[in-house]
Amino acid sequence: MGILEKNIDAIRPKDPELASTLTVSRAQGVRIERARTGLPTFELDGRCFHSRYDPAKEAALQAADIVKRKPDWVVIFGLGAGHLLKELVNEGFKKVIVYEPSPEILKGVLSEVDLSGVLSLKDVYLSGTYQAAVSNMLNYIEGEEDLLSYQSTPYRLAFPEEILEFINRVHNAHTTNRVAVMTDVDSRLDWVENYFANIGSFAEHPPVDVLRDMLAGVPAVIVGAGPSLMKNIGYLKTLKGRVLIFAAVTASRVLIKHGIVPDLVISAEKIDTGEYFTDVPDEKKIRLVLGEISHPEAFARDASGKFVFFNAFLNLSSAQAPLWGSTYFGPSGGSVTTTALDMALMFGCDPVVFVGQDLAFGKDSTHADGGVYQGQKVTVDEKTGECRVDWDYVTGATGTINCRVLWLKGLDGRPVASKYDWVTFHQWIENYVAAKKKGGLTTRLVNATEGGAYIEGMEHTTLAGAVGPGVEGLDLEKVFAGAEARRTPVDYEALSGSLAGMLDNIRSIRKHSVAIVKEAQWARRALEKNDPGLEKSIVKIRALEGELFDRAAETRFIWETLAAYTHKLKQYLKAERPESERESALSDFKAIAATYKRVGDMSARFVPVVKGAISELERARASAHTGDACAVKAASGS
Amino acid sequence: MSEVYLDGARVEFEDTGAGATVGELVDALAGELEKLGRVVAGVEVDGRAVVSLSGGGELDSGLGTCAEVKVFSAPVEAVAMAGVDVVRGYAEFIGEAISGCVNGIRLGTDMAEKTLSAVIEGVGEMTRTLDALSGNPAVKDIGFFKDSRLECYKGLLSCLEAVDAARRSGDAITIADVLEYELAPLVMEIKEGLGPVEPAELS
Repeated sequence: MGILEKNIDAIRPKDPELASTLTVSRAQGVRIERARTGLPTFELDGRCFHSRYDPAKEAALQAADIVKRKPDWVVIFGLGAGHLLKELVNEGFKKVIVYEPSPEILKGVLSEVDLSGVLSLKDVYLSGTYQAAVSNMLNYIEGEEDLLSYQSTPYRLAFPEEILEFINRVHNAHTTNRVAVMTDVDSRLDWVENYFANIGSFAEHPPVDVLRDMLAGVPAVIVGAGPSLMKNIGYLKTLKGRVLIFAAVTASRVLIKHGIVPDLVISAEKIDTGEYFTDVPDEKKIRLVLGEISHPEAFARDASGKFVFFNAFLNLSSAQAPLWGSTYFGPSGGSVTTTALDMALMFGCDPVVFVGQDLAFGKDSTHADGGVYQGQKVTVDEKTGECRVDWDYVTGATGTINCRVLWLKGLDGRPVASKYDWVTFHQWIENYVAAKKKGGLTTRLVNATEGGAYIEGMEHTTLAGAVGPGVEGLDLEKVFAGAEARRTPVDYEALSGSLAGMLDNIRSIRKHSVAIVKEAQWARRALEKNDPGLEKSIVKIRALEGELFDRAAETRFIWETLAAYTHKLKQYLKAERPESERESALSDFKAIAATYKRVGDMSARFVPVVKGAISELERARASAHTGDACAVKAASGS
Repeated sequence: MSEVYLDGARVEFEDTGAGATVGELVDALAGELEKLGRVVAGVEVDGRAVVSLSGGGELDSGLGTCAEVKVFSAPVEAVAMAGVDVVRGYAEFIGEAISGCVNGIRLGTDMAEKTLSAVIEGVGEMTRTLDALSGNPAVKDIGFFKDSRLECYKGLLSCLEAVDAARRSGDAITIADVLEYELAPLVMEIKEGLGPVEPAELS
């Protein structure tokens, strides 16, 4: 087997696409030369990429510089001849993501230099595209981990623009990771509580799956509330009844104010956001598309209809969605418009068009006029990278947000100021579009925002250019009514069993948690007094933990509700503490007791919640039977 | 009429050219001192030290315009050894600057460019000092001046040309390689060729 084949074999399990690209690539690889020490080096465009004398010594210097900064991960721009990667691994540093921008270098090096050993390592990833590198970052680097982005001098000189963009993307991706962790930590408990509170609504309203392929060839306009929405509002009004107007809940109020009733409004807010609605009669014509984690008030809102969508990131939903008759999980890019994009494709819409998706600050605003932000003032300090947003909210509240500015490529190629949440959505959309296209999607995906950030992979044109006059004679009401009638029946029996099992498990988890807390407290005292019973106590804790984990594995949502606490625990475990072994063990027992106290408290909290959900399910079941009976009666009466 | 002193002793002189400069006076004294195995080591005009003895500045002043000119001499050997010491100092500095510059390039720090300029200036100064010393009879037995001076000059020149070419083509690694593996050994060779530092010189 040749060197290239060996390297490709090592790459394939982690990046099959790169492996097949390399297999069929006819690119002329760089010519590998030998340095005085016999190690490989090469030139590209007259520029040497490694020392011609001793590349290993050079790489050792770079690796030492990296290792002393103690990052958890290193993202390297430029594989070179692999010397730095090898040296990092030699130093014991094995969490590395490498992005090589040049196909010539990739081909030349992998054909002549055997890197299969390092490339096979579990946490070493090689990418040939920005998207793959960023995707590896998002998939494998946790938000809590420290990351170092590194590039050697020849790469800086040879690829100045690519490096700027890469650093920006690395920075943005890592910000995304950190934000995702914090959103997750802050929200999980609310999401789980909302899920249980919405049980009755899941029975009442059909899952959004019922619209699958029901809108084939219908243009969908996904409306965000970015400042540029005003550029499209006039033309959008002419499209009412000719396209599917699918608005984010933040944009609904703006549309209503301008006389446009959106067909669908999507929301998945964990808190009550009644202020997004104006309560004018027209709003009742809207159909809501609500995430299962939405605040119960959203389900209580008076609307023409409601569809439910489930999220795979919630264990409860993954387990129970099929029982509610749903097999569709809306991918979440952090914003409901990202979910709406995927839904529109699931509906069969073509083209799918964004408006009001600036994903960047407007000249002096963050959102379009007429939304929940009544007044806004944006001040971006380009020198310090700080941004200040003063706002007046529709509820009368005022406030200021201070944030770091992140930069995205604008429509004209120049950078536009953005912030972490928009950057997260932007990154998700670009990755999503790339993945869909790779999968053979032929639907036109258009960004007709006419302002803000450029979205790689999407077509950029005006709304008129994207959809023309729309579809003549489109009867969406008929489509929606037809969809609602074709719901898969709810499996009440299985749901009832699932909830009863959860209740049983959380009672058991509670019992075990209380026992572990007592044992950990005893063990701590035993350690302080050098009690010989300590070892026995530790064995008992382990046994109790084992039983608890078995129960928790069947009821994973209980861990989700503890996300905030497990996050703190992770940080505790990660922190370096200048303690002796004995002090460290004492701290650990304290941490164990505190952890299981939380687990026990949380289990106790959810016992009545799950019991309430079971009652609600039974009510819905009875009501469904009554409905069936009425239907049968009406049918026989006629 | 100026008063002229040599090593503190007043010297009688005659301005035959009527309008001679301080420089012409210093040249005349240097000619006399050479016969005695000494060289002019410093000049003061009206209490101010003359910065450069190679011409220009106060040396161009007419003697008639100065009240007092003091000339100091030193043995040829002492001047030569001081010059050799300066070269050793340059060699030391260049060695350190090369190390900083090479690390800067290989690690991609912003200091690399500044340090490279310091290396190039240091090499220039060292070469000029060596050149000035080469005419001094006191250094003719020192290994470097006896055997390898011209070869070393060629080597230095070749390194500077290579650095300049690499700089123009943006080839940073070649700059680092030339500095680390070609220039640094050459500078070390020059330093070693100048012989060990004598204990007396250290004091």
